[in-house]
Amino acid sequence: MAKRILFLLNRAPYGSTYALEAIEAALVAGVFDQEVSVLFSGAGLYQLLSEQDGGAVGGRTVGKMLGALPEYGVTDLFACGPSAQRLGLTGNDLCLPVTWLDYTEQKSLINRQDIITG
Amino acid sequence: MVISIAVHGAPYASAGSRTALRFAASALGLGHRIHRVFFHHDGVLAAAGQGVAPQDEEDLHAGWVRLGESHGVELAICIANALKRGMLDEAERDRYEKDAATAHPAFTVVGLGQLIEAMTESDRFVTFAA
Amino acid sequence: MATLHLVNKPAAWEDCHPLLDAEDAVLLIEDGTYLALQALSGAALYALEPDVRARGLSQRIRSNIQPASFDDFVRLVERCERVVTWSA
Repeated sequence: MAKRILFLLNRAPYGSTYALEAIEAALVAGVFDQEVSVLFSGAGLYQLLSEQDGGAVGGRTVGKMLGALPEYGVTDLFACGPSAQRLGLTGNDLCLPVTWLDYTEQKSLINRQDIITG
Repeated sequence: MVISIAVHGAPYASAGSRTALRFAASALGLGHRIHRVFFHHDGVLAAAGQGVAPQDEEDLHAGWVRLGESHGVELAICIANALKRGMLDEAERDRYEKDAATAHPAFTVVGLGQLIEAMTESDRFVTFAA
Repeated sequence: MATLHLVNKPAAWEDCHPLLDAEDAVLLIEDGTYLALQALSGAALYALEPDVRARGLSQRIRSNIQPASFDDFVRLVERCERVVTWSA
């Protein structure tokens, strides 16, 4: 039976390779026929900013990697609305369409999961 | 209960590797099965076989090896994360024509699919962050 | 219990706290145990005892936070349906 797996991404993309390596895992999860979703929260929202150029710091472009998620079957992309407000970001700043969740909706997303990882 | 564990932090640089090791030992002691310990991100450095711990500090690498060998727990290091951090088993050493196999043979080098498989095959999955 | 929240850094509380349900449990571990000095609420609260002791917090820990051994940690994982880790 398929499991519900949530990747909770809350790290900024270029200060470490943490975000990049977590996205690699989310992409692999997508091809495993599980119910995979991703929640961007806190500094993790910076992973979604448009106009990133990872080549400028010798790496891959995290925003572009996230763009591959739907091709890998990961279409449930959520983002924390209160985080965006705190960081001064809106949907116009982002390179991918996401579903904004308030805290109550994030709680219910968490409560639906079998596995939550980062 | 079947439990799998992800270790994200390097031993010493992060407390998580030690916390995960103690958690795994307690889980085994309480009769649970550890399906896999997946070392991800800097966590792969737990496999470094050439470290020498000072006498008054716990040897975390040795602790993981002991856990793997005495309880048959699979210690899996993420191949993508391990290669770029210099953790190679003998097969990868040969493939990339490097001088030494740096990962202790108690650790197996695996793909990210094994991370997802650990999630699907376990009742609980616990992530130890860096 | 629904969800076990592991908090290993004080700064992670900001992300974790708004998502706590009353039936959840929070286990403070590693540097997250420094949060045991503060007035926290929102779920059943535990702090990993060796981490508390190492940091000189045993006598300072707030009365609404229960010390937990590694065996208690395992039991919390058993009792909860899922585990989420908050780091920062």
